[in-house]
Amino acid sequence: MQIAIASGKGGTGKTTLSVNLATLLSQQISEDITILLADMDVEEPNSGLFLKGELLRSEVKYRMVADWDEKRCTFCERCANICEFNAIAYLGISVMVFPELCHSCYACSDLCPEDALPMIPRRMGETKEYRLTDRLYFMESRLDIGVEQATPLIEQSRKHIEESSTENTIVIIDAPPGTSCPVIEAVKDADIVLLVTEPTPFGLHDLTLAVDTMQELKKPIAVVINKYGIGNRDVEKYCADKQIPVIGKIPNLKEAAMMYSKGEILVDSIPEIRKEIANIYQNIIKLTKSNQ
Amino acid sequence: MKEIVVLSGKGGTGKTSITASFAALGAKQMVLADCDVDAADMHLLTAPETILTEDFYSGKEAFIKTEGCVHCYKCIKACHFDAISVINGDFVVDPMECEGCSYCFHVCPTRTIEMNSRLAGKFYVSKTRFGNTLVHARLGIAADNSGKLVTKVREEAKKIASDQQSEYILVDASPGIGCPVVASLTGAHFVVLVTEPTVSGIHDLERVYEVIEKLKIKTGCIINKVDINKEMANKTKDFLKEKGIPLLGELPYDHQFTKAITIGKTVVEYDDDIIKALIENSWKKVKDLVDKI
Amino acid sequence: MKVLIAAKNEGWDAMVSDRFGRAPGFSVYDSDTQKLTWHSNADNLQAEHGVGIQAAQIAASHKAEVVITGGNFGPKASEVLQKTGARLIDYAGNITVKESIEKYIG
Repeated sequence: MQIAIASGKGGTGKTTLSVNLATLLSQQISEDITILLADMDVEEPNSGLFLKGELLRSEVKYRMVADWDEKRCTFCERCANICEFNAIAYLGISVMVFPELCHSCYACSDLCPEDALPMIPRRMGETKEYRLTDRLYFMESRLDIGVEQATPLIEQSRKHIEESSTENTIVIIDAPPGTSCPVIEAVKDADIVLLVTEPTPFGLHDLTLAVDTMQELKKPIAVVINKYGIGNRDVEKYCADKQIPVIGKIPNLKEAAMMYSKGEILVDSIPEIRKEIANIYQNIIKLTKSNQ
Repeated sequence: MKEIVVLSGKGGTGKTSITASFAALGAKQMVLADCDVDAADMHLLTAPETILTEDFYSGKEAFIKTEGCVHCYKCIKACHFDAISVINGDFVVDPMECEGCSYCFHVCPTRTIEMNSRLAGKFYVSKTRFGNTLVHARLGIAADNSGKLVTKVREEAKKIASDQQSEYILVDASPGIGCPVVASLTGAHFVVLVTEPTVSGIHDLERVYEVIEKLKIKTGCIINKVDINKEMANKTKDFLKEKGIPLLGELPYDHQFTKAITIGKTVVEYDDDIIKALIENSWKKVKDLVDKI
Repeated sequence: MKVLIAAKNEGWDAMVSDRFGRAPGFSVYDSDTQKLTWHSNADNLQAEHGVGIQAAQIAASHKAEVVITGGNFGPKASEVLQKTGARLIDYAGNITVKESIEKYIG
């Protein structure tokens, strides 16, 4: 099973829920199941700050970009005319390729009559896998500074998970915030998407955007309200109207905020939160069963 | 005219609350630009009246006409994004997967594929309840690369600011380190970083500062929720000192922020005591530093 | 010698544009004929990315030896222009196309 944890807005508690849900499940669930927590918020991967484990492997991730071969080029200008991303500059006596603008579509490379634009690998980030306990594994993908496109790294990470997980793995995805391509790529294989929000007008507004996106993708969704107790009840009203299940309300506790600030796990020391996270998991099981 | 960008690596640090407070304090001098186009929230606090709405197109998407298609599979073989599939015998492009690269268009032997401009969102110019102009946008679902929309919002704000002879453009930037952030920052005069003293807050502050350093923009920093963790607050201050980033203010963890948001107000309008004074002081420091540039 | 000037509009009296990649257009001055030709940049304004590269390509296609803008060139545009060997003049000031040629070319 794959559970993605997303939110329209950053800072609502996406990482907190991911890390604590993964930790709790690894302690509670039957022995033949392993938990893999995957941080796909590649621009700002933060789950790893809360988890310490043994590094199993680390892999540099590349994507293919076009590269100019001066010796073969006959300066026909076709590549520069084909490229929709302005990644190729034709200068009459020279051709320049800007790899950061290249979308790896292969059009220039395949359509060049002289094979003068071979595709070459370019580094975009790194994926690391850790073992925390026999039951809990953690994977993190991290975009290099200066790399502008997050989606290709997320796509590779997603495929990586697909290969390394079995039917006895529960995968928990810490997705990037927002509603654009990165989050869509991250939740592609998810059986259910939990949208984390806070009960404020900002939380509500960004939740509505996230709901629209997930519905467009036809993903089953459920809402978790974090910092429950602040703000107002408009998020609950909205969910009731839209018939979106609210499967958890994590109370707003200053103690939790303090522990979060130090990078500590909440389920091990705050019983109220442990209970609520266990409850969230039970609700996920119920929902995914009824969806099937 | 100076462009000030309010930025935070991590979401939820209070960036929009602080930006809107600056907007309330310096309304007459500025044009506002909400570049957090993925989750634009500034309008929730400034209750704007929309003056202009425009569709925003960005990039292309392929469309295969049924008539003329000879089912040669060349487009499917060409596409590196698996965006073309055969549904009930017809070749169909999934717009969510299509990157708009035109490869299929170039290989189609019967010229049956069209490349159309892609509707990527909406763009607005509004009047806020403070009386100044807000330029904002809303990215369409699954739209790629908000960078261009961010650039569009900033350019429109610049035009308006130059027409109105405003002193400042205040930009609420999107979080992260990717393309929309770079688009929010390039060519700006000053960055106000907003952070919180948590492990995540420091981690993201360090990452986003690397981006700013590369672009060589003058920077100051506000630590929000400073009392939540003294040790992390000190660590944050050490980082700022090491990098020579002036501390523009320290704000306490206070429910006034949420209470103000809940009734659609900025915190400087809601609280007339300590928080207001602290934010006023930060805004003054920002202006002093910006005016020297 | 040819000079390419990022300009807000066509003609000698148009102001120099402080944008390069997203300038409304480019005036190309040929010192041999002393004539000015206009190259609209309208297509480029719609582009998502790489407008600086496109603009620099226009300069290259005209074999401009000097390129003038009222603002800065941006990292990618300068990278391309340096490759063409053109002399780059940025922050030319709030002046007209004519004034910019008088000031920098003489």
